[in-house]
Amino acid sequence: MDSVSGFDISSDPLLWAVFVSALATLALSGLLVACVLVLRWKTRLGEAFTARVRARWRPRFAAVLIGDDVPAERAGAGELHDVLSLWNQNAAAVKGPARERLAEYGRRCGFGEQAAALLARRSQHDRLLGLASLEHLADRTQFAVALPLAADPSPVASLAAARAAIRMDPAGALAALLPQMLEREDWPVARLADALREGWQPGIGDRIARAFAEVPERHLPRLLSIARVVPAERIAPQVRAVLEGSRDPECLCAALRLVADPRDAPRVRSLLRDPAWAVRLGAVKALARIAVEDDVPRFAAALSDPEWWVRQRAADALVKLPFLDRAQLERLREVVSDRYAKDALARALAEGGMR
Amino acid sequence: MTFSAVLVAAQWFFIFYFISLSAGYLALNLVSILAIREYAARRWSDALRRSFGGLDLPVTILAPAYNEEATIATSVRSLLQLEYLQYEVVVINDGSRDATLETMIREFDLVPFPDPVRRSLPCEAIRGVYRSRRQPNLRLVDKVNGGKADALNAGINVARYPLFCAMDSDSILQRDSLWRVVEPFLEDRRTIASGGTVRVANGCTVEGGFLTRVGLPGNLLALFQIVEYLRAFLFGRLGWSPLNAVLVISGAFGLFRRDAVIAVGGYSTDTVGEDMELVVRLHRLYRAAKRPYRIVFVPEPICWTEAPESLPVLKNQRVRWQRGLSESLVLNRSLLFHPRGGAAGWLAMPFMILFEWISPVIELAGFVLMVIGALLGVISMSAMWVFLLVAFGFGVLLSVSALLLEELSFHTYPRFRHVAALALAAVFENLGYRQLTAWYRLIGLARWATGGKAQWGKMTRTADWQKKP
Repeated sequence: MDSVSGFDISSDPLLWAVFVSALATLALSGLLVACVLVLRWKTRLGEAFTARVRARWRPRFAAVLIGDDVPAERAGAGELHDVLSLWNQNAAAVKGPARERLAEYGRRCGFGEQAAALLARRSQHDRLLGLASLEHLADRTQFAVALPLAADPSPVASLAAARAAIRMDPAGALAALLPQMLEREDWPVARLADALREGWQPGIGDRIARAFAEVPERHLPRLLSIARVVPAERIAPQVRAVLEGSRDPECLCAALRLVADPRDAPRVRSLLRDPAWAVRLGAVKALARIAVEDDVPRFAAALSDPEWWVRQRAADALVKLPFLDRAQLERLREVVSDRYAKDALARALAEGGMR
Repeated sequence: MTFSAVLVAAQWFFIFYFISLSAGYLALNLVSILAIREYAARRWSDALRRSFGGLDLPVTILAPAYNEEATIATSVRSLLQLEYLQYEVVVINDGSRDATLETMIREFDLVPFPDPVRRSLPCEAIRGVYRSRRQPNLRLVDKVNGGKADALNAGINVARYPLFCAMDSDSILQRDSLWRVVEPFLEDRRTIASGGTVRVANGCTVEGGFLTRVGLPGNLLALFQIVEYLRAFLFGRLGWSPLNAVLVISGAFGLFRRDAVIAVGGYSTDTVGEDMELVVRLHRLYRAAKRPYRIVFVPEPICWTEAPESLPVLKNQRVRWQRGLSESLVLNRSLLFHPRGGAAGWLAMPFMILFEWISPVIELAGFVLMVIGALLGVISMSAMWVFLLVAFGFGVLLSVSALLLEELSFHTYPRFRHVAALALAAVFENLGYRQLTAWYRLIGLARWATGGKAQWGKMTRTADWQKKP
């Protein structure tokens, strides 16, 4: 080992290899810096191109939005991304006739076919861009192209496809997608409901009502959540049937959310004593919508519920009831013996006072 | 074995340690390049985000504050202007001894609010909850001092939404910060935590609590830290994300599922590295219970923070970080090589122990022994220079590859001269700065080994780059 102290680099192959690898890392570092600079230069060029494309198309879209007659033009392959992004931005920002004019202009420019072609790409961004464009275009001829993507494993892409299909043909999309809407827990029901509400047709309500007789109990909670888009009187018999027939807390909670008919009050009152706290919570909220003055003691009793959330919502319900003024509520707070009940009511009163 | 033989053996051990450390990081770098390409391909552009708006999950932002009277109002104002559909801001005043509470009351018209707090996690006594009369989504929890972790636990107890975002109250955000970190929760229901890249704000312009112009600092220490942050976040963390083995989500800005954090007992008050400890514990307990989960790192820059510009402040910060790292690893040591530890227990944790935890000992010992050996004539000067050259070469390569990753993805630094300055910093930070931080980390290790009470992670900030709103 002592010989090591006197050797030069070339005489020790291992040290030489280490030396060469050190030089190689430095050379590679230089190369990477050069790559960074080239990439930066290419980015600059790309940004300038995008700016030119947007400057050319923005005035056209603006003119379409205010109702001018603008000749249609197909976007070039290189600029498609920028054009569709800009078009989507405009379409998402407006509503009513302006939005329809923009959609019609997009259809004339052939954006539908170009957006449909994006759906076949591997890039998620491209596919989402295509789906967003198809949703805004609402072009029924592309329905068959968008629908299969609703089976995509990505929740975002599949939901975007479902929304695009609903926008193009609400009844057709519901018929095709209802099983998925019930099965796919990763699709937020609120987003589906929004889309169905936007494209509302009476046939949608009938189809959802019929589904209650067809689906297994495990799907009832989602079906009930989707049924929020249906007018209450149309769906009331189905809701009542679930409230009377089901013992499943999830189903009961979902059904309680739709209660709007005072005829359901006896059943809702009985659910205030359900062993599942989530059901008691749902019952408190449901009863708050259909309560009569005689229900005040029931809410007061719920203030002492063992579950924190039930106490809070009972307090909220009491504050919002039309039968009690603030002085009565303050008196109630004085007389309840439970400390938690007092706290809950104090919070609700304070919150009510700040509204 | 003679002393000279020991020195020579040590020489080779250090050379191979440096090479394997660098090879490990380069492998992570390769994974990061793939991950960043994948991320860029599915990244939502702003226009698309508007199209898919409404998918967002409600979030409670927790902003713990301790003696923040100078900056708290600006910080909270910026939080109230985030682009997000449904969120609330909960400021936790952790027994500040300055006028933090009074400033908040005055600036946001706070009034005492009888909020019955549900104690899902233990925390120090809560003196009161306040609510803003101007901003319905702003509340403040005033509590007895218990440290940042304790403050966050109190915030979790008060939070009303299923996701909470833990942040430093002096973090500088972008308007879409929440959107960026919430995406993994939308994409995959198994996600329980996500974090994003933290960048250095020195040299940037901040107005009204938001970053408005990206720039570089004149201070050399801060400039070196920019390169260091790029390296740490763009492949130190991103590389682990596809393997579901991210062990650190910065306390400056991280998003968590509230029920998951409550299930594992919330933030530990026994460590100064409560952010890392929580993430490692989530891995350990979820894996032990065989519960499917994902902890995700978003490469997007979502949060900016002020880096120390003086050596004493830098030293305090690094000592604290190293202590936090030590505590996190030791408290969760059962994850290491656990039969169900997965990539977190079999790859990320050993990597962290070898190349982050004990690395200051090996790196500094390597340099010192090499110089002693050369001075005593036991090791040739040529061998010493080769050793230094290989350490320097790999260090530069790692830093430059972080720059490349940044260029492949976000182009955060807009001008050519920024890129050139960062490239130079990537070279020169290896000539002293890295060795200095290794020394500070060694002190951190020693302090951890000798014990001591955890304190609030307070850092002196100058914020002289921040314009008044």
